[in-house]
Amino acid sequence: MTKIFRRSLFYSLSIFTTLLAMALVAQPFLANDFTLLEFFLVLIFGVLIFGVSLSFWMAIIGFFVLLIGGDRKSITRITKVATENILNMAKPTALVMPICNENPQRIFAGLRAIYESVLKTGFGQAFEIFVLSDTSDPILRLQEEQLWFQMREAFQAHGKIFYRNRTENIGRKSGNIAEFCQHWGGRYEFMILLDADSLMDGNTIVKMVNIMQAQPKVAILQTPPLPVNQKSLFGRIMQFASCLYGQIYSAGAAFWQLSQGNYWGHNAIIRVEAFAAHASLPKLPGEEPLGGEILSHDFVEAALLREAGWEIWLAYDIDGSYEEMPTNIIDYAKRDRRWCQGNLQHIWFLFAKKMSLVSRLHLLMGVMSYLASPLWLVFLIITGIAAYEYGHLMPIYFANNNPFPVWPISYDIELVALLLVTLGMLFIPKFLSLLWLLCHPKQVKKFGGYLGVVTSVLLECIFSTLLAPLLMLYRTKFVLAILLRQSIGWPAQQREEHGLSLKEAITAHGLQTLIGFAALLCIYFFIPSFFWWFLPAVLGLILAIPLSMFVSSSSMGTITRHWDLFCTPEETCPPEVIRLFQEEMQKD
Amino acid sequence: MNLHQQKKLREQLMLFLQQLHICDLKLREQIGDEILDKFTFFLREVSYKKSLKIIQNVALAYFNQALADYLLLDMSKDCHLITGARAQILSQMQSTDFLFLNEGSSPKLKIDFQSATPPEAPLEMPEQKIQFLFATPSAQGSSHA
Repeated sequence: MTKIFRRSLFYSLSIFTTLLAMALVAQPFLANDFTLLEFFLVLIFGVLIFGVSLSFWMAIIGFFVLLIGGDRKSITRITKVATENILNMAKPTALVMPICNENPQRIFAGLRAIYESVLKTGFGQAFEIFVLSDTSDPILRLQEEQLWFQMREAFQAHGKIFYRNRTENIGRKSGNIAEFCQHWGGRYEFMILLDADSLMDGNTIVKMVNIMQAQPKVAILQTPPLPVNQKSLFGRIMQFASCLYGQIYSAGAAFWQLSQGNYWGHNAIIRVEAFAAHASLPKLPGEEPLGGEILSHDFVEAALLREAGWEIWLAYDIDGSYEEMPTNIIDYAKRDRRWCQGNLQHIWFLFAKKMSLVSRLHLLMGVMSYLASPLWLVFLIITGIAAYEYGHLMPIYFANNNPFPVWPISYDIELVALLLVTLGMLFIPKFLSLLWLLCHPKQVKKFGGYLGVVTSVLLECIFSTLLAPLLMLYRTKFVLAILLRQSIGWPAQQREEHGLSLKEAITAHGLQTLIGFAALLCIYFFIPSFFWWFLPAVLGLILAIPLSMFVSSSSMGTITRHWDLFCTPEETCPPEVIRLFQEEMQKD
Repeated sequence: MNLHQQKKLREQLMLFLQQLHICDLKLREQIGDEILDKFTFFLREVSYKKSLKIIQNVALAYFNQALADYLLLDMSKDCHLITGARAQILSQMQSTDFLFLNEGSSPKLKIDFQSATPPEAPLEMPEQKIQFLFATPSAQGSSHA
């Protein structure tokens, strides 16, 4: 009953908002004959605004959930946990880390920190670590092996910390995990999936195992990982945004999804037997990029488990789960390129037989997060063309021999209202997050104090406005490349600090800058009355090169840190596992 | 590959053999040249980057074979034991020249024979049948590894 009510509420609010916004945009066109161009404009706008309103209502609901002190129906609240139960488990829990040609020092520093944190809980004997290496580089492989051996010696953890290297990288990450399940899955009841950059607190891990024990229908318990350890300005802004705004989105998502949540591929605990029985992936019809091996396996695995009747929960209120992220715009876009291909493959599953609406919605949201960019671009271009046409229409005052003049109707109010609604849906969640934070003075201090956090939010809003058109062009390019059947595979992610040189920035953003200038000139000469409306959409493109270089800088990251800007609690008061990780990294 | 790249390839191979703690220069050169002689023809067709990876993997396979022979293990059956032993030897930073020399002159190596993986506990992972409106998927190799 709760599930139906919550889902109906969420869907109704999103659909109602979409229809309202569509009506606003269609109103000026209804006065005359609806042209084909106008019809497409309204249709594309409807699709885009539906995506925006889903996120918006998720955030609003999440805000109210936090405001009333949390969700009584969340997995953490409905589970009665007896901590000691973990010791009575017949099988240990595996902390599984699939890796592939990544920095071995970083990997093992993270693993050491996690393991030490687990040992400090007093339940260390209930856990084993399994490094699943797909590394093909022989030098990195030797380093991994030695660091594994040294870690095992240092912790005196013989028979507790394992390492396996696959000679053949079949099925990429999902194949790596599948191979683990096939060979050693029977040894474990649960596995906690970690990425090479994951960090998880020992208490969080123990809590997750206890919940899984108490909830036998749950196949996956996903935690929302927070980005940490960022040094560049770009990384720090994204880290701040994720930390501050992410909470209300997670709470909202958990509210409507309940037991039919999603899996994000890492920082989650999985019931091994359920996973092995229902989550083996087939190959998609056709060749890459849209067919072949499934790249973004997590959403599909979640859908398969959901369809098999298993529960998947997003534990929005479990903290102590962290990850790292790309440190500059170019690396961020590169990661997006991989995710784009992976998510577009999911289009297949929208046409899968016997799949529930909620599974399709999860997959559709992933697909739309990338398809939305080319659609926004088309929408902006059509809007420009329509504006040009309207600007060149001569008003007819005396039609059909009518002796009384027909004055042209102004729709400025409707259009301004529409713009405000759209902007509101994008920015209100940010200000609600800020509002929620401001109600918690102790937390405000950890975010850099009142002045620091308010300034940070304002600056982040400006930065995200400038970044949006850049990402829109990047994603449009990626979608087109994929539709033109250019596959990129799944290269290892770049996570190390990397300040951009002028040459790199020009190579990456040169074309975008030219497009920005060309668009600005077109707007200025053909639709000058829209100049100021379009300016925010092209300013990010024009400033792409200096902006990208500026935000990639670690020194700017340090300076803003000194000014108490973009601070997060994990930065100002690092939790134990992050402190341990930093110590491990310094040892190297 | 041009002459400069061939020279660079040899240098890189020697460095890799050094990373495997083969300390004796002559032994390194002997092993390195043997690998290069065997693969020169094949490498002609491949880029430098790929060639480097191939010869490093061949060198590693040489090392593994020598270690397996020394420990009386089977390369294919005991690969996780060999991984464990290799990590142990290389972590101890001692010379591994003895693996390639006659048994009589070599120092005895103390290895505690800890496998890198636990005993297998297999679990079946049946492939999920998904039907699409327009096409049928095929099997993914990973599920039958």
